[in-house]
Amino acid sequence: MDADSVFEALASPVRREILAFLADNGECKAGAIADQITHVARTSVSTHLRILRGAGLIRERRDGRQRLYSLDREGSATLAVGFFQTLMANSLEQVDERLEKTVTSSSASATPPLRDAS
Amino acid sequence: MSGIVLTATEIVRLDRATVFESFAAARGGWLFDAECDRLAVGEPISLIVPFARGTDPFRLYGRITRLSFPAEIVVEHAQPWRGRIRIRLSEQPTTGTRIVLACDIDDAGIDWLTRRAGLPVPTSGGAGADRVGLLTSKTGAGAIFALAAENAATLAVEEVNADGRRPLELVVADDATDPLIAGIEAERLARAGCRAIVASVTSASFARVQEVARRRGILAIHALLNEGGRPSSTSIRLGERPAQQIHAGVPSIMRATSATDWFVIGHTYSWSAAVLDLARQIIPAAGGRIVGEAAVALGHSDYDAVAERIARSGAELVLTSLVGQDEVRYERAAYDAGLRDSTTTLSLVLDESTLERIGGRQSEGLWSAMGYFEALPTETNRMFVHRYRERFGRWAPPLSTMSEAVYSAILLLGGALYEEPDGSPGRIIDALRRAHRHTPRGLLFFADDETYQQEIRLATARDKRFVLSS
Repeated sequence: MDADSVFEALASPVRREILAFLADNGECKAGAIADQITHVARTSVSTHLRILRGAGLIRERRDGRQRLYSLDREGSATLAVGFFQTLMANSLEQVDERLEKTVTSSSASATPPLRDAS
Repeated sequence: MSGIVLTATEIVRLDRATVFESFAAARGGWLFDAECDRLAVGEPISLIVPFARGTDPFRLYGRITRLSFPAEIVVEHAQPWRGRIRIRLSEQPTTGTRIVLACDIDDAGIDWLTRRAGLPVPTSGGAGADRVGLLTSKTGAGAIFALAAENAATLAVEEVNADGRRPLELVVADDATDPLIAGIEAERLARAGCRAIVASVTSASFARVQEVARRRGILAIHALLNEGGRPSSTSIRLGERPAQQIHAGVPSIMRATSATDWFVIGHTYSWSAAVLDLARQIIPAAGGRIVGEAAVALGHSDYDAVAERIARSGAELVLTSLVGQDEVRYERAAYDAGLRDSTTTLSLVLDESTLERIGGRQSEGLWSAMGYFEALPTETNRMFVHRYRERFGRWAPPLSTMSEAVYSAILLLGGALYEEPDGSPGRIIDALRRAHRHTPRGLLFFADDETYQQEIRLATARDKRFVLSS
């Protein structure tokens, strides 16, 4: 999955509605989703489901001729956690620049002594 | 605890000692602008994470729990999830210092981050227990006073369930101290099957929770100080009323200081506006006078200017109803402006967590008027605090009137649901109103005027702790 396809997927109110429905109802048949999202045609709902699958936000399971859909919890979590990890890395990348400023600005003031402790 | 550990590594040019000592500072250190007054074990710290475009940064609130100069720093944080941040520093020959950063995120934290990123998280489980929602401020201006609410709720649910009567299951949501989000999250809790929502949020947020409760036919319980309101068949408000707090604090402070001139500062939203209205009646009735007023929005940034106004007003007494991070910022600005020498302050939302984060010197001598303090010297409370520490450890955020109110609300709710297992919100409210319960804050019972009767205690801040007035 990539962030762009996820944002693209989330940009649609219909797709957000589908995700919210799946969040509340667990695994659902395609028909049940279409019954819920009544303001667009059933073929449109299929297209939206395909986009959500492509973005890694939902999973499809076949049961005989039925298609069942559920949130891909891991997909969403991976993205969110990935954001956080990127922020961690960004924060460390800026350390040199920040420390050079901190050391310059605190050179006139005494820093308290530190002790080992736990 | 399941979950994941994320790591990041960087080599920086400066030596280990400098990197170590610069980790956190009063106005922001090198990791997520880490803020703390000094690098010492036990010191409260917060880190500001700029999580996603289009959303406000959020703070991780915790404590420094290990320092091993110049090699290791560990922070354990309570909100918005319970986790641990470890930093290891090692020398790199000729190049400086290698920093290895590891962040633990538990399952609840992963869910919270996922929602924060705007992605859906499935609602799971729910069979065989009454679901109780906790809406709390994990982020935003109010997070500081809600730090222990989730722990307190967890403890209460465990104790109700240990009783073996009617099991409860806790579902937690974050209002981010924003009424709009409070409404959205209250809806989510209702859709998740919660029969009741215990809210440790501002009155502005609680108003949205009440709307949802009315529409969905569930119960909303406000477990935080509040200004009260009209009786309702779907909501009930515990918590101190501002009139109770002001009546308890104002005359005592005026007697103790022989001062009469007050400056009243607060926010523009409902509860704080109610405080101002009441102050305008109660202070003159007590023989005082108001020489200045200020009302600012939640999240206001320029408290230096406010402190200057107070200094110029000549007031010797200050009544503040600022909350959370705002109260912290204001009190630190007041200290910097020298107001500790010239004024005495009664702060209506000064709980143990807020006190810690204002800082020791900065908070010395501040007055608080609450129904509960962690230091309350009763046997019931000592045992409660002991159970809390046993369950959550020495580094967990301190208990306060906010968290004790959540705890007591859930115990009361457990009892009411047992009495009225299929009851409507109205019948559960009647059961709550009939209850007389010994809680850690004392005997709690409902009076005729829609207020929970409780004793209001006065305390002053000394060395970052509350000393109760006798």
